[in-house]
This record gives sequence, C-alpha cells and structure tokens, in this order.
Amino acid sequence: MSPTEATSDFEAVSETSLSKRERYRQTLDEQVLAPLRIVWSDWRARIALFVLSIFLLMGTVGVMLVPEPSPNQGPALVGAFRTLEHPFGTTYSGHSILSQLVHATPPMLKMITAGAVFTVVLGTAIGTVSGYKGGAVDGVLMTLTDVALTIPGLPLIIVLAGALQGSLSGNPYVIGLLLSVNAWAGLARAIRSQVLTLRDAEYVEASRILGVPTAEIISKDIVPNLMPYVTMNFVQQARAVIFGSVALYFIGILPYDSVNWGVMMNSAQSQAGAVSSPEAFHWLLVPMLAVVLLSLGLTLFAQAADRLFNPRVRARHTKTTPDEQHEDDEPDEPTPARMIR
Amino acid sequence: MVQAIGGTGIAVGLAGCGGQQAASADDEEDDTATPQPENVEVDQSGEPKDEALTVAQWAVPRDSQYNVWNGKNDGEARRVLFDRFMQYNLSGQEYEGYAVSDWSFEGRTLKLTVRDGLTWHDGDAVTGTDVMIQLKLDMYTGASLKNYVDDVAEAVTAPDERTAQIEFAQDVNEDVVLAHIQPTRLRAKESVYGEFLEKIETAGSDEEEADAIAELQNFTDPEPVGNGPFRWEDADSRRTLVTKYEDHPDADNINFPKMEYLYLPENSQRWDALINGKTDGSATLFMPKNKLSQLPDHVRVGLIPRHWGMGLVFNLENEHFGKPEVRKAIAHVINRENVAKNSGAGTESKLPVEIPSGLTGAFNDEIENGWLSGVADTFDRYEPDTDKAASLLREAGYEKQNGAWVDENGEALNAPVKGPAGFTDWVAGAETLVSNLKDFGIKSQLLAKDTATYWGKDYADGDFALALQGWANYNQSYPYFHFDWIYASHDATDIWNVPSEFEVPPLDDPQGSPQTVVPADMVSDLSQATGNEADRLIQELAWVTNQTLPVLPIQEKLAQTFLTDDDWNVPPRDSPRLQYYWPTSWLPRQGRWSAKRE
Repeated sequence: MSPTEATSDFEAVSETSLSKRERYRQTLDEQVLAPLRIVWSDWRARIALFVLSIFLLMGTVGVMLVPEPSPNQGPALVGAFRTLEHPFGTTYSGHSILSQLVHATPPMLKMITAGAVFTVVLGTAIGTVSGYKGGAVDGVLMTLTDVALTIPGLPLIIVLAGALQGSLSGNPYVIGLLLSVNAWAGLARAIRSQVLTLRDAEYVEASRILGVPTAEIISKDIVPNLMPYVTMNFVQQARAVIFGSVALYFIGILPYDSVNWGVMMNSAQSQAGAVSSPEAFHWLLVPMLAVVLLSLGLTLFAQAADRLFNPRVRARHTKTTPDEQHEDDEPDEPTPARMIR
Repeated sequence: MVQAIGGTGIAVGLAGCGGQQAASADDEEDDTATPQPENVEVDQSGEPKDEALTVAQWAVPRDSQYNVWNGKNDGEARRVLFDRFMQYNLSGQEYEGYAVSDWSFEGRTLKLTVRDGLTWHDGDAVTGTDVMIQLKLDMYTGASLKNYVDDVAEAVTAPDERTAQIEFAQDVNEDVVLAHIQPTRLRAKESVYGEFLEKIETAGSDEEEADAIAELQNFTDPEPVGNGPFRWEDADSRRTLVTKYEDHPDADNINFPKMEYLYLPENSQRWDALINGKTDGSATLFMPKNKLSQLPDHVRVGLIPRHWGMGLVFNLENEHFGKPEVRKAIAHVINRENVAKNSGAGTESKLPVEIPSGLTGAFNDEIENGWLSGVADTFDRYEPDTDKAASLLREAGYEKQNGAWVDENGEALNAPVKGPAGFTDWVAGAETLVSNLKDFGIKSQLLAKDTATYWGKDYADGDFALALQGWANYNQSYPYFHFDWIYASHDATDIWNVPSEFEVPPLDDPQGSPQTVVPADMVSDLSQATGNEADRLIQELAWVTNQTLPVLPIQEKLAQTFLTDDDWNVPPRDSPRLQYYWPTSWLPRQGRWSAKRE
C-alpha cells in the first residue's frame, strides 16, 4: 500500500517522505534561518542585534585587545575624544575609561545572564507545571510562589549583600542570582494563569487524548505559546539586573574587587563631583551610556522577539515546510498556511 | 621641646609651605587678600553684608546632642558653643591659653586658671569646679590622663573659684600632658554634670560606678547651655542655628549675629555649596582640582598640615605579613609618590612619606632636620626598588614562579587590600598601590567595602591581611602620640596584632647584631621623659618603626581650608593665622573673620 492510499483516517500518513538530510535542512530552516529572516525584516531587531553584538564583542574579543585598566595609564582627567590613545578619556588616577568600560563588560554579561536565565527557567517551569497539572501540585507550588512574592526584594538583597560579602565579591553569577532572588515568583504566577487558559485549548486536548506524555505537551504545545511573554520577561529581568547592580554598586552596597560601571559612576561623582563638573563629566557619561545602550538593545530585542515566536510570522518566513512547497501544485486549494496570512 | 622646635625656624618654613601649596591650587594672587593689622579692631558700624556665617555639618542637625561623653551625634556647632581649654598654633607649635587662660607646672602639679569674664550662656560664671568636673569625667570615661594619677577623685581638685589642679603620681612629659588637655572643650557645667560626677564618686562598688558612668554616657543634651561666643538657638532637619552671645569675652571681635550649620553629608554637596555660595567657608574638606577650578574668585583656599594620612596596616599574625622582610619588600614595591599623586586628585594636598618612621611633618623638613637631625641618613627610605624587594623576599624563603611570588610550600603570596569605599581619596591611592604589587608579581586586589561595614566589621574584627588606616594619631603632631598609636593603642595590639617585642639592630650600629626591644615600654618612658631624653627616645622609636614597619606610612595630608571674601574680612591664605585646626570657628573669635559692613 502506498503511503497516499489510506483506507481510514487513522491510517493516514504524511503524503511526502523526507530523507534524513531533508529533515535536517528543514529543522535548520525552521529553527535558525526563519528566525534570522524575521529578525532581519525588522529594523528594531537589526539595531538590537547590532548593539548586543557590540557588547558581546567587547566582553569577549575586547578584553583581549584593550589593556587592563591600571593607574597612570595616561595623564589625570583627560576629556573624552581628546586623544586617540584614550578615546573616552581618563580618570583622576590616569585609568583609561575605555579600558575600564571594556573590562567591566564580561562580569556584567555574566551577571545578567545568570539573573535572567535563573528567573525565566524557574518561573516558566513552576508556572507551567503548576497551571497544567493543577490539584495538589498546583497548591504546593503556588504556596511557595506566594511566599517568595511576599518577601520584599530590595531590602532582602541589601541584607543578603551584607551577609554574603565574602562570596559576592568577584563572582558575578552569584550577584546576578542575588539580584533576581525572588523575581521568578511573579513570572510563575503570570504564566500559570496563561497556562490555565491554554490547557483547555483544542489542540492541547487533542494531544492529551492521543496519549502524548505531559512533558511533551508542555514543551511542544504550551511553552511555545508563552515564549513571547517569557522572552519579554527574560529581557526585563536582564534590565533589572543591570539597573539593580549598577545602582547597588553606585551607592556602595555591593562589595567590589574589579572595575564595574556602577563603581565607575560612583568614583566619578564621589572623586570628582562629575554631575556638575564639565571637566569630569565624561567619566560619568561613558558608563551611563553603556548602561542605557545595553538596556535599549535588550528592549528592542524583546519587541522583535515577539514576532520571532509568533507561529504565523514564522511560517511565512520558512521556505522548506510542505505547505510552501505544495503551494504551486495545488493552487486552488487554500492551505492552512495561506489562510492565516 | 616646644622651644627647641621654635628655635629651628620651622614656623617660617611651615607657613611659607602652606602658602605655596595654596597658590598652586588656585591661580588667584595673594595680593588680593584683605590686609589685616596685628591688632584687629572689628568694624561694628552699619549692617553686616551677610547676617549669618554659614558652614556645613555631617549629621542631621535635629539628631545632634552635646553631651560629649555620650559618644553619639556630638553636634558640629560645639565648635562655637563651647570654648577649648587651649588653642594650638601649628606654625609656632605653641599652646595658647583660651578657656584656660594660664597654666603652670609646679613639680608634679599642673595648675589651670580659668579665663577672666568667661560665663555660661545662662549667666553663671565658669569656675574651677567646672574645669575639674570636665577633667574628672574625662578620666572616668577612659581618657589617658588617668594613667598618670593614682586616684582621680583626689588627684583632680578645684582649690579656688578660678583654679583647677591635677596632682600627677609620677614625673610627666609636659608636652604630652598639654597635648591631652589642649583640645578639650569645656562642656561640664556644674549644674548639669555635677550630679553625674557625684554619683560616680560616691558609688559603693565597681558595679555601681559602672552604672553611674553608663548613666552619664546615656544622657543626651540636645539644647545645651554653652560658654562659647555663640549660643544654641534651634535645630531642624536642615540646619543648626546659633546666635551671638554678647557677654562672651571675645564678643567684641564678632560683628555678625548668627552662624548656621547646614546639613551636607556628602563631599560633593559641600563642593557645590562652596561653588554656589551656599556656604561661606569650610574648615577642612578634600576638593579635587576640577572642582577647585569651578570655585568663584572670592573663595580662598589654604592648606593646613594634618599630621596624619593614609597608611597600610598589616595583620601581623598573617603567615606572610608577620615577617618583617615581606613588609619591607612591600615598602620597596609601592611607589608612594604615585600613590600620593593619585590620591590627591590634581591637588597638592597629599604628600608622600619620605622616611617611613612614624614621624609626621612631610610638608617641611621637620623630620630630617628636626626629630631625626644627625641620624636621618641611617634610616631606610624604602625608595621603589624591585631588585631590593626581590632579594628581601628570597631571604624570607619566597621565590618567583611563572611571574608570581610563592612561599616554600608553593602557595602564592596573596596580598588583598581592604579599604573603605567612601574614602574616595584613599580608594584612588589604594588602586595605585595594588597595581604596583600586581606588577611586581604579588597577587593582590583592592576589596573596597561599604564604609560603615569596613570600620565596624572587617577592620574592627581584624579580618584582613592588608588594610587601609591612618598611620599617625589624628590631630596630634608630637611624636609620642604617633608611637602610642602604632605600638600601644587598642588598634595596634588587638587589630593589627603588633607583637610586644621586636628584634632590631641598635641605632648607633645599624649593621650590628639585632637586640630585643619593647616599643610599648619606650612609649611609656617617653610620656614621662623631657628634654634630650625625650629626643633620644623619639629617635629610637622612629628607628624601630623604620626597621620593622608594623605599619607602612604612605602619605601625609594637608587639609584644604576654604574662606570667602565677598562678604567677609578674612586673612590671606598664606597667613600664619590660618595655621590652626578649625579656622572657621577659631578666626571669628579672634576678629580675623568678620563681616563686611554696609
């Protein structure tokens, strides 16, 4: 019996059979190329990618190219864009601000990655499981979440920062986690309520009837629907970690042993009163711009990512799906992909 | 000793130095200064251009209180509300009478005479009894003078209305005693503090006495009756207001009715306040060059030696830093000149220590030609010299592997430096010294802690290998106080773990075999020595410090002091009249800071 000659609906199989290679190509197209095409079609995403890659380059290649900041690299308090040697100027001790900026990037990237990944993974896992399973599981998980929600975040961070002085300095991952210590709870709550509506959707019900395992339903049917929201939260948490860490470094609560944007801003203000001093303003401005740019890049990325996880937009940008391939063969019959255009 | 120094002409050098420093910090020429005659006659005609002399304070004014024994929130306005026993002239290095107008040592007895006409703000005369109560309460709450008497209750007396006296149990070094007494402000009004003293002295047991002392220490006095030229008027969340007290003996020197202390808790706020004319002066404030250049023309900047500065203290029980060779090597690695330069942020207010010996006076040649005259060449100057540092480390059993120094067990020589993040000038200096150490191959990093956490926890618990701390005694210039700080203070014995004995070759035979010395005993001898004996002990202690480096003196500070001349008649900035601590409260008393009238 050829694959197309099905006698009953339950015996129907795909009209086409794909070789391994074709399947890989399709996966690549769906998972990598389509998102890239989507991203490239959106100006916000292009800017976001540009900004984020600059910071990634600074944090990886930059630290190898730019010398480590040290006192007396240059004369004291050179303004920005005055010399080629120190394009962003120098501090009172003659540190090159470019060196400080670049060498402060890797810890910052580690910090925001740790904080955002922790929040999103924990929040999504607890939210979906709790919402999908319901019952006792839901009860226990939501009690935990509510407990975490009632803990006042900032005071807790300040107290923990004081208590964990030793393990904090020099470990950006721990600082990232600390700054997001209870941010997952809000996300878990919100996701649970979305899952409650999704779990009764027809296609989820269908999967359940077909006996698809719970883990697979959650990962294939439910989570993709939540991805825009999750990504937005990822970015929001990343920004919260940037602002939180810079603020806490600026007011001197977090201990530090290496250069950091918040510490740079603190030094600029406390050592030179940079806010009201034109001679020293660059010292404050450069790290401030770094913070603004990085969070702008992340925000734009989140907006673009909304389209990235939209299955319809994605389908439009995929070139190897059967729907698209068969478009010419059956011009009169509307395909699902066409209907949603 | 006072005479001995006065005779060497250091006074001139000091004043000249201050002026020169100030001129380089600000382009204004000295001839714009208001000429002031020797004997001032303060203009009282017309109205003052500015009614209130406005300065800054660190603490919330409403929280301020004025019981000095309470130890908390001592209000900044104390500087004009209460008179000091004596004044110390830094350029002449002399004590001048003030609330105690006259004093004399007769054998082992010190007689203190109260200034004529000095009254409390409620009209009561200031008496010998007030002075006695002040001295006794100081001693009961731990002042060092207690160590020189047998029984406080009997040793300190008030023989008549205007005299108080102390009977010492032993011979004393008069400079040390006067240095203890001079900065004391007279707070102890008999009607307020008499009962506390009585309770302490009539206590039946040690426990009762401790309770009585605790009671004194818990008492708060937010609206004090003072004896200075200004009386307390009001304090809110923003400022403390004090008004002129017309019956003060110096009232004729003051021609403006009020002083205000504004709440400005950050250096940067104080810089802007001076730049915007919100404050009329500041007794001591670190201001970097870029801010100095923003100051309007009518602000004058003077520099006053502080006999104090940032040093590196070691935990002497640390396996590495307990070894003198390692400390000496570190001294050779750190470039003190660069550290002082970066710490000074473009100003000349930080001077590197030339001979690390525990003696202050980097701003003139007081160390080499004064205290160490004749022996200065014997002392090690610890100039930056990495070869010497390397050979010292090898001597102590260290070797360099892959660019890093390791000990006999192959463990890295780790030298983390802890410091208070809020002391921004120190942080800038410490970054520099840490980078010196790293370049040399010693593993090091600066751990800047929140200022309160640093002083209250890390430093106080001795939880450090290397830490930043002042290496001399704040506000004292006589070497006894510095050596007392380095060898006998609580910080030295309990925090840095300074051992009681050191092995040092004799000063007159630097290559000779080391001998055991007990610096704390020498310090105690110095407190009782006079003349040549005191000079010799000072040199010996300086030698021990130089050869063992229990602390590493790095820099000495000159306090920047700010005066304005738009509404005020003030001395020129190179004037020896500026060479007193706290010129904003001292000069008005002398008629040297008066309002312009119109």
